Amino acid sequence: MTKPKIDLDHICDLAKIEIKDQDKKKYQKNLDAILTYVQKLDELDLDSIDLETKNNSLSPPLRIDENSSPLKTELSTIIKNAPAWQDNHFKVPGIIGDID
Amino acid sequence: MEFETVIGLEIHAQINTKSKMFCSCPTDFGHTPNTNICPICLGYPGTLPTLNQKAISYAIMAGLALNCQIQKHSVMARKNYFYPDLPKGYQITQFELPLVLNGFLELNLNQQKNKIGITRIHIEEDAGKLIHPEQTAFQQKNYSLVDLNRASIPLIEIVSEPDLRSAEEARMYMEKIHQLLVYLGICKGNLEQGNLRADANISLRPQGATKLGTRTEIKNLNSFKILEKAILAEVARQTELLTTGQKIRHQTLRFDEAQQKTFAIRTKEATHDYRYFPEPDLIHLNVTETQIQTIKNEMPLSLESKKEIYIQKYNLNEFESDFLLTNFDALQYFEKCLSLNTNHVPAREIAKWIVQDLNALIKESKHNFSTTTFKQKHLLILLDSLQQHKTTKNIAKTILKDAFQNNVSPETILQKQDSNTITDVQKINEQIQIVLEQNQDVVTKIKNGKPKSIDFLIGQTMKATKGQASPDIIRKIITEKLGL
Amino acid sequence: MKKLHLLTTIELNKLLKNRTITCQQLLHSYLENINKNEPKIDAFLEIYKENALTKAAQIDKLYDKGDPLPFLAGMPIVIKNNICLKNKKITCASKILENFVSPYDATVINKLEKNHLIPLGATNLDEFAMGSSGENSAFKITKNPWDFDYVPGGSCSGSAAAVAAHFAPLSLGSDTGGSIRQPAALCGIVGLKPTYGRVSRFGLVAFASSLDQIGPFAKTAQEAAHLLSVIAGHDAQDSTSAPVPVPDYAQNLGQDIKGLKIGVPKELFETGIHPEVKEALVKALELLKKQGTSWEIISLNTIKYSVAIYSILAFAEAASNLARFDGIRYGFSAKDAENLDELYKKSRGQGFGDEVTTRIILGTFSLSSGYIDDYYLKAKKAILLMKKEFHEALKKYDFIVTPTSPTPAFKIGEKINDPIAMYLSDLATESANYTGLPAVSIPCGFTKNNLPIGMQIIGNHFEEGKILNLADRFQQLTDYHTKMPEFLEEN
Repeated sequence: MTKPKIDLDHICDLAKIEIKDQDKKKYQKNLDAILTYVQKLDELDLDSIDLETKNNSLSPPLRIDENSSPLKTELSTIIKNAPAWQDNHFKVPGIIGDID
Repeated sequence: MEFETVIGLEIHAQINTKSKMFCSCPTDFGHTPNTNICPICLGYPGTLPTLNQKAISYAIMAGLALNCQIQKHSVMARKNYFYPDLPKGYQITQFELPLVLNGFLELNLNQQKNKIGITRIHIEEDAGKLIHPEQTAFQQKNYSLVDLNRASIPLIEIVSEPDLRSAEEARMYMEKIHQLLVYLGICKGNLEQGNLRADANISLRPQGATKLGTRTEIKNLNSFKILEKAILAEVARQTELLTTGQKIRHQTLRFDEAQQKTFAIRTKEATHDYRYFPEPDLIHLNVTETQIQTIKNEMPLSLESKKEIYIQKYNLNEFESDFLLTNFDALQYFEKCLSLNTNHVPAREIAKWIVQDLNALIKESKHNFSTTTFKQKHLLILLDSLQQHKTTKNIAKTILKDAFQNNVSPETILQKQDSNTITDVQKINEQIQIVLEQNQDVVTKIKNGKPKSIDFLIGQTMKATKGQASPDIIRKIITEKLGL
Repeated sequence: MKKLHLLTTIELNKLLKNRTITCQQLLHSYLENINKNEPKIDAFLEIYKENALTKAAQIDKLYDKGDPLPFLAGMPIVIKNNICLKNKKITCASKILENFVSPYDATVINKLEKNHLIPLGATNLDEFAMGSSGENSAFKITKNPWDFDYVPGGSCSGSAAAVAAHFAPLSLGSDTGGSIRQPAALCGIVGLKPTYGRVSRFGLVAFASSLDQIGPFAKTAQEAAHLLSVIAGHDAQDSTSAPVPVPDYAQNLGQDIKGLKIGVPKELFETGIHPEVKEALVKALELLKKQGTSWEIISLNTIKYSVAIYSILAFAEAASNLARFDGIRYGFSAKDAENLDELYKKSRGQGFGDEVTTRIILGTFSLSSGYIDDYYLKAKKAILLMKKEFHEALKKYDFIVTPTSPTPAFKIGEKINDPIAMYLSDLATESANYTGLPAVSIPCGFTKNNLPIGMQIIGNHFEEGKILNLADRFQQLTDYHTKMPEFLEEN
């Protein structure tokens, strides 16, 4: 495996997480150190390992389709935890361009 | 240059279960926003998903009905992306190893039978709903509102091969899938409530070519009409581009009904990197041959077989048969009637009354065939009376309406009629005489070979006797009098 | 009589049953100790004083009635603050959840309730359980009770320190790569990571779903056994929990250990091990040998790759699990966001600490298009290889024994700027998470500077009883687990 350099801007956009400009260097350094270390896995012979081997053990029993409510939740707690709440909805800044 | 249209459809159908895909929250529509929720479907920290058994069974049933291969080993996966209607920041779906693979649906278009390939069927959870209120002059910033009632409702996604060749065929395919899912009870099929939606993948290629052209995807088409219109619009757009030597860009589009055109969706997520990986909280889904057989045995007969029985065995006409086969509740009502039908009322009769008179009454009411209090046994008693000429068709219609609207059983009404029956033959005779004299033309009709018109005379007599004379007796007397 | 908070639960159980003491008296003893010494340790994020007193009074009534009660009834227990308690703040030691209140109890909390244990407080941790020293908490740094300049280990820094400092006899923590065992070793107590699926994860804020397990802290194997029986068991709400019956682990202790075979992987013994740790381990193994067991050096080559695997697999699952913290339904939400994209990026950027951010970035990278094969899938393959290797070893040996941590506790600030050095603290413990095997750390010595040294015993799947049995036998022959940090001697 070739050791790449992490495209910090792209990954931060994918992960929706903001890093201050002054910290970018420090992050890049740490990430590079870890990525370098991780190349170690190349030492292992993994060619014969098949990830597709089917797990034949029984699936756990599935949940019966009914409306029991083991986690009945007070709406007040939901509202208390909600950062922005309006007209019985969670409120978010406007979305430009719909997806679905 | 002649172009061939190539279409593939991805249909998302909400599975008709009582609880959500990964938690026990109710799935019924129309509740106050954010009331059918719990920490699990809200994506609260520490919560874990549990698979809905019925959703799996229904997905397998859909696969069997579409001639597919049920995969005994399949894997749930996480599709990672950020959007406010997706509480966990990932959707639990299936990716590389879905539950169902490789089937087909037969379409009958313009006398030609076509097998439309089904690539795969998998299960996943629905997202919540976003509302974008209009920005007003008074608002500084715009905002959107999130309702998570719909989040985690079970969905099956049916993906077709790109085997459809026209907007019309695509529409027919969507209608047939809709009918099938409703018939099997898998999906409620209410398009206005969003129970079923389609994404269409469209590309063009020169006639005779085998390589696929660049495709575009129109998302979220939620009616048969809109699907057809959207595809036509997109085909027109692509044709225009190609004939002027331009290239088609692989884009995601939406259809604007008002402008009857497709528009590209402007989104930053142009490169969708969903980073799929197997869901560690659920891992594998193993289904046994026994489980599949059980579902197969408990499934209703195929639509085709059912239609054949209705038409050949029960003598229903196309209209009646189609009505029942596209209305799950009415079909169940009908079939229950058949099972309770000890007095051998002809199946055709039962169907006719369900499809016409009862259906009309139900449409006006707040109920449907599964919630109405006018039960099957009531209908059968009424029809049995009619069979035995204890009442006439018109009177039966009145009794039906009366019983339905006033929540009284037809038996009660019939009994009342019986108890008020005038058995004094003399009195009846007198009335009949009057009716015959007043309706000489009808008498002539009857004598000239229209025996059914006797019903009219019976009706008139019943009217005159305020329904208190037994129709049986009236019929006997008139028949005698006219020497029939 | 010794102060109540210095007694074991075994002794306390007797005293409560015969009403020599009450639950309230016991609780007061702990509260006094906490009052006096918590400022030195900083183990707690919150103390549930009122709730605990109310509960203690209720349980006293039960004891007074005389009906048989579960063994641990009336025992205070402290809970790592990433396990959900209803109506309590569950912060995960992160700014992003600083004011988050959980609307439900974790399954293990329900089980504690049924057995009449008394949750006494929420303990500090590395943010979102990511760390090996306790220094990644957004709120405070917990100190090692044996020397306040040293780390207690992580991520269950508060839980381990609280039990070592006698703030409570028992604690619950979570272990993803060693987070229970490593701080247990550094604090001189017992910490156990159960077999994957033995204990329900429902209500544990997820870090790496295929590795996480909730487990007990105590001063002795016997007490850990009691607590394990309380929390273990199948849970329909956790599809990864195992439908395996729960034995009475404490009842089954006392089995003979003669003839049992121990394998010690050279990869954790010959290199990278602190000399005093090695010395203590050998002494312990020889002591067990005198009791009829045998030990020898074996090779488990894949252990060397534990940290590399962790940096990919654990971080990838974590990146996905932490996507739900987006400032919309709960948690910190950036007020200066002008649009949705900013809401996400600022809420998460400002809410998460540096280590969490690093792991999210790396985890996202490992799953991203173009890299997923070389990273995520490669790590998964390495795990399969490791599973095979351990499976073979456990066919020949009853236990795999290693030092829990290659070094004793290190100074606060010593490794914080060297991520790899920090990650290597878990080199010995991570393999039990990948393989899903049960593993317990027990005290087996002290350094010249009076810092505890821990020994890890790994067994086969669902053999918690067997490893606890060996641990218990060892504790009957030694007194490391009875030693107390200096500041408590002043009591």
